[in-house]
Amino acid sequence: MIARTVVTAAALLLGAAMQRDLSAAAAALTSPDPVARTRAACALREMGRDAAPAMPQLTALLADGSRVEASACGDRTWGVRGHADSTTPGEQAASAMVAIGSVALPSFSRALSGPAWIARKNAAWGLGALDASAAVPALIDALKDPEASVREQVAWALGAIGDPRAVDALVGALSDASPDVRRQAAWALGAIGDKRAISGLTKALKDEDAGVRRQAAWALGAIGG
Amino acid sequence: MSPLTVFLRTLLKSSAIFIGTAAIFLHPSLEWRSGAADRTTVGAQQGAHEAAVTGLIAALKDADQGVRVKAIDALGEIGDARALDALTEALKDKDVTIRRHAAAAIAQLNRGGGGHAHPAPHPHPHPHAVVRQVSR
Repeated sequence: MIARTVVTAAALLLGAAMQRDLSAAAAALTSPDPVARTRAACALREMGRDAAPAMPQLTALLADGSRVEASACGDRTWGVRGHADSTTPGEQAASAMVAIGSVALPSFSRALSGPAWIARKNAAWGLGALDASAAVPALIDALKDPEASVREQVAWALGAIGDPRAVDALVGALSDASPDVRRQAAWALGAIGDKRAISGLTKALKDEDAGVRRQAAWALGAIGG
Repeated sequence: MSPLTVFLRTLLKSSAIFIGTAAIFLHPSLEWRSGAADRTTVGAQQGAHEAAVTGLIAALKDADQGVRVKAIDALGEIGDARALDALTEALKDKDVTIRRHAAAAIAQLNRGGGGHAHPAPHPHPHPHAVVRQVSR
């Protein structure tokens, strides 16, 4: 009886503490300081699914492209590699939304066709990270985004999802004006592994950009004979 | 039986045979048309495969070392014996990385291609994205 009371009290206290953390972090998402906004998004990501009540504020933060040091979240910055020395509140908000899970999909889908290109880019990443097959048609449309870095991220997402419906559109993206987009499209085609991409990738072996040629050669090997 | 009846019965029988034969040949389950389309697709894919091998062999002379390395790896993965001469040539390259990759690709070719997939050379653009392992 006593033990049960103690456990219940502990659970209530923990719940209350978590609620307090959640409210504090959600409030800090609108701080005037970009480092504070980034940290708040990182703190919410740590809560995973429990951060779901902060979804509206996180979605609003997707458009925030203020550059901050990658160390803003301490060692909690998720998966930042050696070469990435900076991040943004928007990227970390997208991470927190991915950690919440598939309930974030409608928010990402809306942001993908929104007015802010930074939000569109972060949304494309989120859809790829959540392996959102249902978003493939919308992502194919987004390969025509006016902003090159959105198209690049969209190509990555299509490769990460790995849906063969995207093959024709990605072969088209091998002729994109931006070498970054062409490179990412070649990667995506290798990741999908559909033989219909072989002709387009063979042409990309003669691209003016060495990065595209490397990626095309790799993709041809990944698709195999 | 009058000659006219015989004629009419013969006509009816042969018509039945004709209609039956036509029905068999034109039945949609036979998919003559899509069969031809499949053969065209296979033919086109064969052509694309050959063009890819030719393109990758040409890429062994690329100005960029990274392209040469990826082309060698890809020829090993694809496992087409036509690449053997070019890969053997690459064994004499002055660049040790090229020689090493060429040796691995030739070994892979002898095993009939395939094996482990080489990692993608390009990092995805998002600084905290997780690249899904390319599975073969």
